Amino acid sequence: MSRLRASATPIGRYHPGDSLLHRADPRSKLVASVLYVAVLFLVRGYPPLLLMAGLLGAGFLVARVPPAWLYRGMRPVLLLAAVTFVFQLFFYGEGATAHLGPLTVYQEGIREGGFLAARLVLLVLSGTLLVLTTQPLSLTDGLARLLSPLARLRFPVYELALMMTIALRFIPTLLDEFERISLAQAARGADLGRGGPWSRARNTLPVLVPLFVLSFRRADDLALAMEARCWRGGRGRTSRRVLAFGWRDAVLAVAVAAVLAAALWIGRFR
Amino acid sequence: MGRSTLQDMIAVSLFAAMTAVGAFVAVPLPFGPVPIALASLFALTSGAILGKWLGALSQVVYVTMGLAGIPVFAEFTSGVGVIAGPTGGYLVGYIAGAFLVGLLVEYLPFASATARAVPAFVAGTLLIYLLGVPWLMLETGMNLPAALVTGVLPFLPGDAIKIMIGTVLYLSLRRQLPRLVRSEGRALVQRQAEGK
Repeated sequence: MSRLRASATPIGRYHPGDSLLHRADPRSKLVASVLYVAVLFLVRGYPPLLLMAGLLGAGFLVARVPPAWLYRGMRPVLLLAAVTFVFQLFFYGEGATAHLGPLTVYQEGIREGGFLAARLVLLVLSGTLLVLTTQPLSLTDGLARLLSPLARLRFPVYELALMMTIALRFIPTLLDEFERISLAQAARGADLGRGGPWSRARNTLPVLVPLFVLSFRRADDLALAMEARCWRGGRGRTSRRVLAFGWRDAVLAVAVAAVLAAALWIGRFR
Repeated sequence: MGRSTLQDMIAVSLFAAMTAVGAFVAVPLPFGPVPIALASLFALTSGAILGKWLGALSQVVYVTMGLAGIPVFAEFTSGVGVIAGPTGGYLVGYIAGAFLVGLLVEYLPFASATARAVPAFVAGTLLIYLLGVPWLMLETGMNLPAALVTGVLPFLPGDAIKIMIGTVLYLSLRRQLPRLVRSEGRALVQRQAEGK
């Protein structure tokens, strides 16, 4: 008998630590990762890409992320990168270099495929580094503060941040509840992993419906509790933890700015 | 009983969290290596249950969480890299899909809720692909057939199942939580009000 299961890949989860990157302000890390991705899409050719890979590698070294752990989480991305590479190999450009049966491998294709695959891996790794070194709550906090100028334009930044924070809090509760309900239904004789696709699909309903009903009841309780405590929106609210720009952020900013500028400079001459 | 803004906001958060949980949960299928991720199911259901605006908002919250770097996307990934990456179009599609499902469930001129929900979920699913596939092609340099083979075909059986689950979920929640479901057939209510 099998139950519905939640997969547990370590990647993308906070990796506790005390490094320079861990202790930097979430805002500077967010800005750095956004800039990194933007530059990644601007440059062409291998030299700038190599430079940027170096920066990211240095970041992982500083954050002391175990490489084996990282590799395990990156496997699906590596697979997609491999597919991208192989595809380019056969369907791109001129200058045939090798023949594999009926297929022709193009030199141009090797270069382009390698570039796209490497860019894809860097793209995902850059986001991963941010998450590995920053606690989720700091991330929502940092994002809300970065977006706070938008509040002047009546964009509901504080509400968005609150909803993100509440959603974040709901996730572990929902996962637990999901597990518990499917165990409870299994105890009542529901066999969630048997039969054809249609009956399997129908079998998820005895889990999903109670999950939703329970969760909405809990959500309304939360709303009531907040209203009873006179919650009145984000404007003018103070925070217990105050974010501050420190020397670590200065180091990060200088390093990232230098490497990205260099990458853009090199990429310019191609 | 009406619902307060705060109740709405929390219901929106709940659907954002549900979509994230859906991205972590895989239902194994007897055929093919690709499990069904439930994220798109919850994305579309949010539109059906919360209505077009709040449904789309819940997906905006979901995508923004991922954008901020919280690992809520499939395989526990997150960040600008995923949105900008090859599968980013699908995530933007969640927002558009939730809106479309809410819109259709509300406005399709059929008397039975089932007859409104099924086409709504089908259209929402198609919209996700409509945004996801060109994005995938652009990022990986695949041509249309290749993008269809990697980005659409393996998921179609799962999608059929998800459309069915979504419809039944909507119908049963509609019965059990009538207070919550706000996207009732507007055309129908108007017709009844006019006494036809």
